[in-house]
Amino acid sequence: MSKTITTVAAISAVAMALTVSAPALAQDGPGELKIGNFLDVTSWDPALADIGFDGPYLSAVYDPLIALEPDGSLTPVLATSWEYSDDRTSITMDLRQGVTFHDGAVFDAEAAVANLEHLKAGARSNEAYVNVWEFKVVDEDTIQIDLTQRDDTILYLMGLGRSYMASPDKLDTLTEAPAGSGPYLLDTDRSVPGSEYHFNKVADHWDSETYPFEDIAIYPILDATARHNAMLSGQINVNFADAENIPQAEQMGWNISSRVSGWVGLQFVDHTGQFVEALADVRVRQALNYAFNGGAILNAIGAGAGVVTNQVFPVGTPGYDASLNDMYAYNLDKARELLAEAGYADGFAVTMPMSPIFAQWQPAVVQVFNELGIEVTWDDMQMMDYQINAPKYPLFISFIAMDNDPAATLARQLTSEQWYNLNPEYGEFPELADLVASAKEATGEDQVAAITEVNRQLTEMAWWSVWYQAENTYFSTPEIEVQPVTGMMFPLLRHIQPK
Amino acid sequence: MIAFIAKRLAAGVVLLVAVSVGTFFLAHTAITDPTVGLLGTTATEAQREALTIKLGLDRPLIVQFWDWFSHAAIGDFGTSWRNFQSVNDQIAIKLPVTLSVVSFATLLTAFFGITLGMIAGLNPNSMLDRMSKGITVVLFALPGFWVSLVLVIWFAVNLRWFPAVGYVQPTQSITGWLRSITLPAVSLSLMGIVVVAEQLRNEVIAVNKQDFVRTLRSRGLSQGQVIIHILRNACPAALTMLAIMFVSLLSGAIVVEAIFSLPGIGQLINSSSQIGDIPVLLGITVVSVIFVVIVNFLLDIALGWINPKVRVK
Amino acid sequence: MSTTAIVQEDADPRASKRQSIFSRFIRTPAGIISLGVILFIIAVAVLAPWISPQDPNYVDLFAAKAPPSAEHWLGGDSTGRDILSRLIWGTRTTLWGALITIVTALVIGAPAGVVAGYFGGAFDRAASWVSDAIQAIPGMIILLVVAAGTRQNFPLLMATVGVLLTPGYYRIARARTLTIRNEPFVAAAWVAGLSHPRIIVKHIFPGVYAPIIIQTALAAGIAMGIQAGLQFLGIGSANVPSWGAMMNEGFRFMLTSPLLLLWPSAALGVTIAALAVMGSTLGDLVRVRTPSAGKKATAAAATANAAARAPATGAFAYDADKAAVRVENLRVAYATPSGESEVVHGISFDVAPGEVLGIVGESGSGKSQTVFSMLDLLPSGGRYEADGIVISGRDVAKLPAKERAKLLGSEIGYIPQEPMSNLDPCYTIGFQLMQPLRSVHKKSRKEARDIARAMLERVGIADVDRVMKSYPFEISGGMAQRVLIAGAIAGQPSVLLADEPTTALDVTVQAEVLELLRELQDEFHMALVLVTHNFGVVADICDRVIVMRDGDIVEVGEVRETFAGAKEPYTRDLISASLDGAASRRELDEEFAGKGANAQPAAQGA
Repeated sequence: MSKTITTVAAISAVAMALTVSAPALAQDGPGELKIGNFLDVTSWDPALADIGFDGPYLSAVYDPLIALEPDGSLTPVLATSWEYSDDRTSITMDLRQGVTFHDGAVFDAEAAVANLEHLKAGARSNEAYVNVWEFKVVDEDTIQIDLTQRDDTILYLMGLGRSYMASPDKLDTLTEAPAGSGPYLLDTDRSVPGSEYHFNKVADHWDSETYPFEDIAIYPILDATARHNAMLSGQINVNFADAENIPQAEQMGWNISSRVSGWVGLQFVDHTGQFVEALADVRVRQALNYAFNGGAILNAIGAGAGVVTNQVFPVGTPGYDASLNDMYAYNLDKARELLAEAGYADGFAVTMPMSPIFAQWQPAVVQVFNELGIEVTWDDMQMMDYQINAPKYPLFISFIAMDNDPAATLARQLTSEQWYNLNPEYGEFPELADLVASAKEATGEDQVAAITEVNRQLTEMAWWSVWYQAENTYFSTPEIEVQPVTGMMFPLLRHIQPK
Repeated sequence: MIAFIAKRLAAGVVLLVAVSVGTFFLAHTAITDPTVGLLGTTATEAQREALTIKLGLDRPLIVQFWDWFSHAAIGDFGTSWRNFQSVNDQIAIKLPVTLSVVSFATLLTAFFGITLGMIAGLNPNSMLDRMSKGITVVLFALPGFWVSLVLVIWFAVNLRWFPAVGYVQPTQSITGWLRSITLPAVSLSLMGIVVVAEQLRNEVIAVNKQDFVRTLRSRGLSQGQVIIHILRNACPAALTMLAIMFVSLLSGAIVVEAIFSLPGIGQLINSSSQIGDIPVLLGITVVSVIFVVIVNFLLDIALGWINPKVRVK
Repeated sequence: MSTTAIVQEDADPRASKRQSIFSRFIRTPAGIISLGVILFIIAVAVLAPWISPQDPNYVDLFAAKAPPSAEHWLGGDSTGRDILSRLIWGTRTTLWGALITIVTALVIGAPAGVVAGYFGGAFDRAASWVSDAIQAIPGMIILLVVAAGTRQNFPLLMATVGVLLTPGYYRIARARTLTIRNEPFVAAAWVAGLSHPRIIVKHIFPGVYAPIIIQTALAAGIAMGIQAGLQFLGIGSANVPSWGAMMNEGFRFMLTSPLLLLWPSAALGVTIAALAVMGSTLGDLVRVRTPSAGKKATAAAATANAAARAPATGAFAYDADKAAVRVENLRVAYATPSGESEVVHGISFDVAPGEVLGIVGESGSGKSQTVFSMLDLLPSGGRYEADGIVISGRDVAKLPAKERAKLLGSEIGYIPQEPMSNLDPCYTIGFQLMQPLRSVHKKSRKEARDIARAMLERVGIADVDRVMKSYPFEISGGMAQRVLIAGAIAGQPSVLLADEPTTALDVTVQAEVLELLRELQDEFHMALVLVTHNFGVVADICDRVIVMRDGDIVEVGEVRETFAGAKEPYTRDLISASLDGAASRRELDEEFAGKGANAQPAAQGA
């Protein structure tokens, strides 16, 4: 008996020795947050950074003016309060006092305006400020944002990650090194660009309580399986996960948190039938709604991580209307009928773009189009080309990110120019344009109601062929909890808390 | 000797120029408008145009070429189009990672390839030879990334002997560094071991048949001493293989670097080619050709030392 | 007309060799299996439309990641397509890609290599440079750039891979062509008026094709590997079934549905393995390895031989305790695919200390095999047995191999036939002379150097300093043979075995070397066994001679007596052939100096 114990002790001693000499594995203490992210930080300059996966990086070193919460509300951070003018063309913002940047510069109205101007000029951040006329310093802790026209999305986008404040002296050099006022400092000695980023907690940060982790590491790991392996081997404790691995995560006792992030389906570009006449016929588009079995696709390809719906408004958020979901229940015969009615009993021919990321849905489309007699020619291209070229095709398979704000959804899915929507066509359809116009004029509850009305109209017109809304899934070890935010591919550090 | 070095150096420079010119024009032909890949989809036409001008892409290609070439000639590969950081710096960060892994892989290949090849070659058609041939065929047939995955699952996820992903700098921890490069190096070395062992085996069999080996034995030399004679005569081909492997892995370890999430040259190539960051791609091309030139030079010296007859030519 | 006939004749054996390589290839188990696998895979690719159970792109979402079933033999993939059907169609894509790659590499590389090797000159230099340049290019960068620029045009990508693999073909074709071009029959064909293209077709191609096929087998494997790697990185259409794309998909689901990864990996693995086996089996055949029979076959053959044993030939001249060497009933056999073949059929002879014994015979008579047996250094596949090989009073045939090896270099010295091929080209003469002295005779470095130098001086080398530092290729053949003699006697052996020590040398040098051997033998009082095909050499320095023919001793006797009146007609033929028109040195000596050669050791006993 005692011999067995000795043997066990010897074995565990060896195991200890092996573990202890591996610093990468050793510090498993609860004080450290180790995030496995999908992409590397796009840029340390908030003006050039992407919202998608940059959240954890940027929210570590920068404080934003406003932050978006999981429920869609906006939290004051460096801006303590804000108010629209009566005509909603001007916003007045009060700023937090007593905040200094890590380099010693003081955060005040001058600094905020300098930053906002920098962001307005930025290639990526400009999307938030397209309607800004000018930023004005009112007094030391107040600024005013004058708009050229009413803009219901600016605050939402600022909260999403377009209002990070950097030291005004360093605005030109942010691409090389971040310079913010955030809760953490980038530890350049321990960080390896492209591979791992380490952050040290700033002792006297004004909002220290929101950021309980002493030490933060973020590992960009492109490959989902590699990320999962890293989590299995204990190298990370929060992971941007592949829903495919949920059963194993449950087995490991990890926390699993999910929230819808984007819709999957067909984006019709050519509602007016400029290139493919058939698409101008609402019956054809409706047929393409009936023809796809969203639930089956979600279960087979999306590992069931999502919600079946035919709308682009995130499920359960204002603007979404559950009663619309039955409109295009899977019915291939109905689809054939509608096509025949529209005069396309034998289908028609289209060319569609294809890129590796979308390849997982390609077979389903091939299959359905085959059934309907629609002849598809595929143009293969890489993601870079896809983003340039996809909207030049009459329709394409899409995964388009959603927003947790009805006005933002209306704008970003329908009315504003986006890579996936180069020529917003809603104006060509008076019944739709009128509804959009009244939604844009309304405010508050009225606006939500009007946008829901637009949603109904869009669904009836089969503006898209939405199969389902896909969820982003995050695994975390039992002592950590992640609160996903629709609109961000990866939530901010404030949304990752000890449990 | 000096003439030899000068000649090799000149040949190397010519090669370097030719390959970089070729790659420059190929890349610019293939990647026509990098601005979308660089700016993302939210950028306006004006911003893209501004970037085009900032990057100098509006100039005639030949002018762009001369601009790049004249800087590259003095060792300045310009700045990345993506993050405007110096290409030299980026390569300097990534190169040690890849060099660590590839050097370790080459060492493993040399050790196991030579051992297996010698054993098999000295005992042709023996059980050992057949076994090593069997192993060889299996390793050759298994796709490299498949092996990597199995290694990760066994040794990183289940046993936790090695990290599953990532790279530890030797300055932080030597043992951590060795652990972080072991699995990738092993998976990179398998194919090389196969090739080197096979090559060496055949050479050893050929050398073993030569008259001088019998004469050496007739002089009473021990088996060990005779083996050293055989090895020295048989190793040039295997050594050449090792050199080729080392050089080609420097820019060819993309899949393994992806699976182990190593921030090396391979990942830099992959990410840069996806967004069309031509200066980075060109910089890597030049650096890897420099390595080719250096390695070939060292190889020639080594081969000349091994077999002086080669030296005279 | 007659020269054409010669050329024809020359081409014929090559044609038959081609036949034999293929038939030998399919007769090896590895060959027939690998060929079978590859033919099977090609058949699957060709017949895909007919044998595929389902449409490879038919999506049955409810069969997603389904386990193998009657409907889906290998299960369903992530979108519910039939894995077996995709695997079958994927064979097509994969082979098609490999074919594009190989054809590209072959069509560019091989002809360029042949032309460069055959004509040399500016084209050779230019093409070789381009080949080196292609090898220097970081291939993945080029492939990724091409993928981006051509929107992942699959055939173009695989052709690019082919271009990157061109140098392999080029080098092999060029090297083989160079070797063949330097063969005399090519010059003969040119003299005979054959045009270059005809020479290339008739002579070069038959020599180049075999290594090219081997290279192709390997390149096909590499091409498939690269293809899978590219598809793994997401390059190429995922809709077209291919093994690489299937593996890429399987990788994602490997933890939950490992079968998805298993099937395509297995298909790719088996194919590449078959190609590798085919390549290396062909390679072995082309290199013409000594075939070796398995142990069982050897034993069986040995017993079979024992039954049919002829009585030993030869005779002893001395009492067993007087002989320096006594070989009794020595048989040597080699393994062949059809069993063991005996080349020496039981011979006996002996040599006294200080005596010179000549072993004469034509090539193939077994004389060299006799020497190798005495050294215990038969080539691989060879085996001897003897009732006894007594050297300096010990029966060495019964010693374990290790003990036996200890005699070499100290008791027994060996002088080989071909001086240039018997020195290690990688080491200096000095090193090769000193190494045995240091390791076998435990001399210090300085002692060894002194002895080596003394030996070189003794064998008549004037410029000892230079020769010590020289590499074998830096000295003449005669000098090399002197170096080998020095090496053989440096250990002061009591028995010296010389295998045709003068055959490869110029006539004038031959006489000097023989003179030297005789002097040294006399000086160190060694027993010298000298193997030769030339009775002139025997006449020069031997005391006694044995004549061998087809593995038997046909005549033994004193040299003078044998010359005076050989009993066997065969011996007489040999003597007259050797002495045709040239008197032996000894005869000349005797004629002019009027004095006999060194006194023969009296043939005591017998």
